Amino acid sequence: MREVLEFTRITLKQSVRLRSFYSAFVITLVSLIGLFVIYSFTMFEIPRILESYVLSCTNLIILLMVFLTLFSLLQYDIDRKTLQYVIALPMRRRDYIVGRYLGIMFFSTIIAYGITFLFYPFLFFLMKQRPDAPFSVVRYFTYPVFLLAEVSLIISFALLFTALSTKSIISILSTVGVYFIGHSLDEVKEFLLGGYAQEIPLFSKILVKGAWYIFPNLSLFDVKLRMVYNLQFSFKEALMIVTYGIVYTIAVLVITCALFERKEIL
Amino acid sequence: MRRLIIILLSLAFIFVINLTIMPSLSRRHRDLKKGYITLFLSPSLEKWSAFEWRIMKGFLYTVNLRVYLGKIREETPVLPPEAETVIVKTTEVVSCINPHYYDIYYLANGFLTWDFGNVEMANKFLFKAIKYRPRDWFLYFLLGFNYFYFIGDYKKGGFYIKRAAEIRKSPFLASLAARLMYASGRTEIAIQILRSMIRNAKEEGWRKILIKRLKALEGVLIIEKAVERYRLKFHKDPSTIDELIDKGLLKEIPEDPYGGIFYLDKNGMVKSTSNFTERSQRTP
Repeated sequence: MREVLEFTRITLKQSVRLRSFYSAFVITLVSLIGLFVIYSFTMFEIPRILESYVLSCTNLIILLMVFLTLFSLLQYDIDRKTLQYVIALPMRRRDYIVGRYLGIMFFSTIIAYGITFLFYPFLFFLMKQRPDAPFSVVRYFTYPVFLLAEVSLIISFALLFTALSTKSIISILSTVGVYFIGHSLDEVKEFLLGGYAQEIPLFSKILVKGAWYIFPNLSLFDVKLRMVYNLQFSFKEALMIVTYGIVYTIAVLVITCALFERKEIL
Repeated sequence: MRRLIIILLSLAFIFVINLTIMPSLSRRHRDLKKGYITLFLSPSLEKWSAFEWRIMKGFLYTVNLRVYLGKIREETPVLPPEAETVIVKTTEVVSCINPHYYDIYYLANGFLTWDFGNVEMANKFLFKAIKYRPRDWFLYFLLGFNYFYFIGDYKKGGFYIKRAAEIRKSPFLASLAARLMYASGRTEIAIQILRSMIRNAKEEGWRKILIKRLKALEGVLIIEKAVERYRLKFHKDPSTIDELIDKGLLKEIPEDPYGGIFYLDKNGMVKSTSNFTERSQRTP
């Protein structure tokens, strides 16, 4: 456990050294200007568009920072061969995977809630101009939980591809691929197996269905529409979505650890 | 010092480029974009390609549409026929990306009904909006108005305004709905509905359009009342509005804010050469 925590600490330190926190802060400040621009562009749905803008910015900044930080770290580990030094240490290889995962998750959580808190006073001020706004503080501060569940899955896949590949670029592209597939699968399945079902070859149908059961369905974590429009969203459903993310992450991490234990590093 | 000079020179270079080449490129880009505005993927593909940013994509497409329509309105009060296609396509796409987004339905309804007379399409969008926003009273109100004013179906108009009244818990709307069911004079009720719409209009541009319409209908109502008095007095229809002035039933012909001239058609109905649109000036 001590080794895991040590790796978590190192990962966080590396994130600081990469100026990831600083970059996230600067991007958030720039996005804040956008908040006031958007305010002047909306017609009726000012509160909803503003809330949606803030949630979208939080989403985008976290994904951007996680991808950039994760890939910089992977590049260090794989391409610069620092991984060889790490595994030469008297420790289990899986400690590296779990430590890295926890470090980036911790980093993501700090950024997610940092951005959420930073946006809040401005959003609150603008919402005050519209007292009829259906704005819920609880809902607003719950959103990062779903975002972090999604990020958790992305990180676990990035680590899985690190365990599988010998070049960082391969693991980077594969992770980005999983992100896009995870967000498209639901729509593509609906599109191909819905109204166009008769025109689609059987092979494509099997492929889409197969992918649907294997890849993570990342669109589940996009709860912005439900939150912004106050749509029906029970606690049970919310809990199931987060549990889905956690269970999937654990499964991917277990596979990653198993693969990494046997990985031959040259 | 040398580094500072390089930075300053680079900044000056950027400034010069932005001052010389960029404006013409930007103008050309804007012109090209005008032609591209109807170029959408299919609504479901647009929805798919929005990934996690569906609300913002829908919002940006709506802003695009507003900018497009605003630009045309700046140049000419008459909207070209292709604008109708742009409105319909954008609304189809945005309502698929984010079917809860109110602004796009409101915008489409306003332009499709008043500027293009495409009430069928406007109602189709309103029905979709109601499906996703069943507690929004104003959507029922707009639907009721469309049925009453554009289609002339008082029964359906009254039904939807009654629904709006139930949601809003508004005695005014309830009485309006009741009157609609039995009404015979459309203008007076249309004025009441327009006043209600003006009260709810948040955007200044749209508010001005509604006020203009209200003024036109108020003019119609003044003449209609004079015609009614003429009928009661002389037991026949007047042939012209001037006849009403000659008989002392009307002080003067009200001004049509659309720039037309009021006249009476062969059935004694008050009309205007402007047809209450900015589109064209018609002669009786």
